[in-house]
Amino acid sequence: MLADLIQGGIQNLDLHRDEVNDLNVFPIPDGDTGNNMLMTIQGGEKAVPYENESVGEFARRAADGMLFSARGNSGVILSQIADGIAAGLEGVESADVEDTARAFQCGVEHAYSAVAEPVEGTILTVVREAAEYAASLGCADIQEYLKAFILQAHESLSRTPELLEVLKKAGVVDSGGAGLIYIIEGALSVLNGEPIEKIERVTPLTEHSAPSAPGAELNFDLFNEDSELVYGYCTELLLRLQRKKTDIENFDLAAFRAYLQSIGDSVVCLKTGSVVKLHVHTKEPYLVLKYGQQFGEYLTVKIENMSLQHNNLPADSKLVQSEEHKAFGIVSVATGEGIKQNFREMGSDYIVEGGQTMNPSADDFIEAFRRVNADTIFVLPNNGNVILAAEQAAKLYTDADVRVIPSRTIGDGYAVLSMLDLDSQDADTIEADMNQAMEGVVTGSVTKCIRDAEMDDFCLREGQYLGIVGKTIVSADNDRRDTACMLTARMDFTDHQICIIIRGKDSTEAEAEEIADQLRKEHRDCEVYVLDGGQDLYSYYIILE
Amino acid sequence: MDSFFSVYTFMVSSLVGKVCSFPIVRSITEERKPRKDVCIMRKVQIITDTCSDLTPELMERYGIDYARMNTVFEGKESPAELSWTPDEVHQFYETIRKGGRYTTTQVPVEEYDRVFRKYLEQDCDIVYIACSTKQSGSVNTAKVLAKKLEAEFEGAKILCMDSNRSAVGEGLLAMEAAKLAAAGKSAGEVYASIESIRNTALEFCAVHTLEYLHRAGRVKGSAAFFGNLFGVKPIIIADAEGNQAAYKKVKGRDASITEIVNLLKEKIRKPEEQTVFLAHADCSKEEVDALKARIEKEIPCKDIYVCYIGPIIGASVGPDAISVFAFGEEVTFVGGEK
Repeated sequence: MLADLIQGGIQNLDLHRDEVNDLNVFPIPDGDTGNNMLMTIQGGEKAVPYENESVGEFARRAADGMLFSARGNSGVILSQIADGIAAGLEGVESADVEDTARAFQCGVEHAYSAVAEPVEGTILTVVREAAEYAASLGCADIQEYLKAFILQAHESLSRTPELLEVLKKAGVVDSGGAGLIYIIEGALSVLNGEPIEKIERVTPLTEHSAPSAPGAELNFDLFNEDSELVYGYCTELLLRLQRKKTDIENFDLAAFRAYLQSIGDSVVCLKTGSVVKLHVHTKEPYLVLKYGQQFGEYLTVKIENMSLQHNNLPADSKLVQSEEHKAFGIVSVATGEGIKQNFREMGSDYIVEGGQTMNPSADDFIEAFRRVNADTIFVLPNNGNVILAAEQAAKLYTDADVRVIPSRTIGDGYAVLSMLDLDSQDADTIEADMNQAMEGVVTGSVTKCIRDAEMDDFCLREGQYLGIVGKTIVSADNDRRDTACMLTARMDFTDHQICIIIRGKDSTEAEAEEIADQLRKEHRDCEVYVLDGGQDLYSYYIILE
Repeated sequence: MDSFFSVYTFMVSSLVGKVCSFPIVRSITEERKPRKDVCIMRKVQIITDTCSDLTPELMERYGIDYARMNTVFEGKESPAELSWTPDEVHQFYETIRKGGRYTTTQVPVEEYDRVFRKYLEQDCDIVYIACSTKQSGSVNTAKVLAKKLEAEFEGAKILCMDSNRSAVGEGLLAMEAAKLAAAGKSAGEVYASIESIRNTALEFCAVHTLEYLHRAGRVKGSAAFFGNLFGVKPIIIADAEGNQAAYKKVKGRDASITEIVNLLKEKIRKPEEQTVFLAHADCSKEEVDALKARIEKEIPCKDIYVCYIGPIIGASVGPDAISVFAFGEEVTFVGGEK
């Protein structure tokens, strides 16, 4: 039952994913909350309920799945809520409304304790106020409880801009809180036996579950004559329901999903009009084809051996060569070939691909820790939205002493790595040195505005370039170079002797050198360097050390 | 460097063979008697090499002479003199700044022969304080030649010491040796005293980049010091084994200069009896004056002597390097991979 509720939550969130993504404070390409929460909760979906399993046991397994797949700040908090709910349901055979209320209360407590400095006006406020209100009513059943929960959650959500200045300025409500409401609403629909109706279009499946483009980067050698089928097939089908075969309006999607879950996992099953989109990982894809054909005919069929998709999958010991065991290891998050290579050269043992728009999950980090194979592992998240997931992974991983260095920008990461010195062979000293290396580092960036907005006294147009320092927009212009120059004019060079310009994919060497020369003239005491970072989305990172 | 060495060794043998056959016989027959008396009170001449970075003024003050290494620029070899003018210094470093590349050679055997013979002919014994073998193989050439010359000038002693130091660190030892020689110590006594204090001659150097040292193959350091470390200013020290070793990473020029002052302050011993040496590779006057003022303020030394980093050391540490030298706590650090 709980599995179905999670399914409902996932479906409803998936439907409103873009809406949640758009509740973005900054009009820049950003960590998309909708995607992050969806990917997080999908980790719970992988837990398939066993026969006669208690709700407590299942909740634990589902929550564990979410803890590992958590990404982005809201995703991590969501996984902590789930973790608390599972703790609250421990030993419970089949949950009633009181168990549910207690479990949510427990979820709230876990979520608050997971965040070092809880901020009100976020998903935390929404879940806390909703759980408190719903519990106070003494509801007769779970439906009533969830209804009250949702009612209060909407109320709380609408107040988030008053609690959090950045939301008010951007004219949006908190995205994490909104995502949570969609999840609970989806669950309630399932409980009420209502279809999740608001389906208006077939939403694309998430990136990570979809196989790569046909033939693209597939390495057929990964499944050879002696290979065992370990992961099965990623099976993705579009099914057109046919009138002669079934009652399209009253088609039993729940039964269909239950069948898919009986033969595989990672099940996604959505219906739009007469089209059913389904996704399942199974070792026997013909069963899916055969079953579905009872109700209609296929529009598209995509079946791929998952051993070939090794990048998206948990490690097979044969595929992953762990490095030789060592005392200290460094894991850094980065994107862009130039930055990644530089970070490697400066001492990163492993790079987790990701950053602003692609927040890595706790699981991605755990995989990195496994590969690095060191007694002590230092993690550089290099993004404010990635720190929580890294910390979550650090807690979950027990085979090494993992220490997260809270680097919030690529500039922080660069400063730490360039000063890296393991000679002391003392983890505490190294950690202190790393934290010290970030002190005073300022990172500005130039990126493109993705929607019209009014912010920080700027009237922004989509497609314009923005110069940003920390969380403030300091320049905006149609010209990339001018935006960068205005950005540097707003950055305080006092007390900084080093300026590093990391140029992105869309800028040119010549332009970067022009900006550098300008800075060399303006700030004679400052050494200015240009690095070809090759990153997407950000034309320039400008780092002052 | 190995190949250089073997070439020079070969040259030493042939040269000595040619020059020495007659004079040896003559010196033995003619000078036997008076030489015995002279022997007891033989003067000890201290010789060093271009790497010591001693100014002509200091060499004159202490009665030191030096053997010249060579610099090579665009295929042209020229003796590396320490008597260069500020203009020449600036030109030299400016050439490197603009991408010009100087390489260096060991002291040629003819040069050793010239400078050793000059003092042997004045009936002096010689203590040669040479640049660390980790930086130059010159001293090996000198030792081979010394044996031949000792045979030629019977009773003469030529003691060649691997100083384990280079730059003014080597110079400090040469000056100490000269003081002992002036106080009437024998060559053997001077050699033994100086050998025992080699690793107390401290060098702390702030370089702009490791690039030059790395390219010249003259720095030891763990992998952490190499790579595109924009803005990182490694501190180079003369280590216990005579290497120029990357000791510590510091961010930014100001911090690296602060660091060498702090290190000197921490490691110097009996500062009140010492002159602190400040050597630089064509740094701005303001920067040199500021560092000098800081040392004056923070370290109670007798005085401060400012000089240039000479052409041989300069070609490997690169322009704008700045370093401080004094005697202090014996160095135990050894650079390299951990």
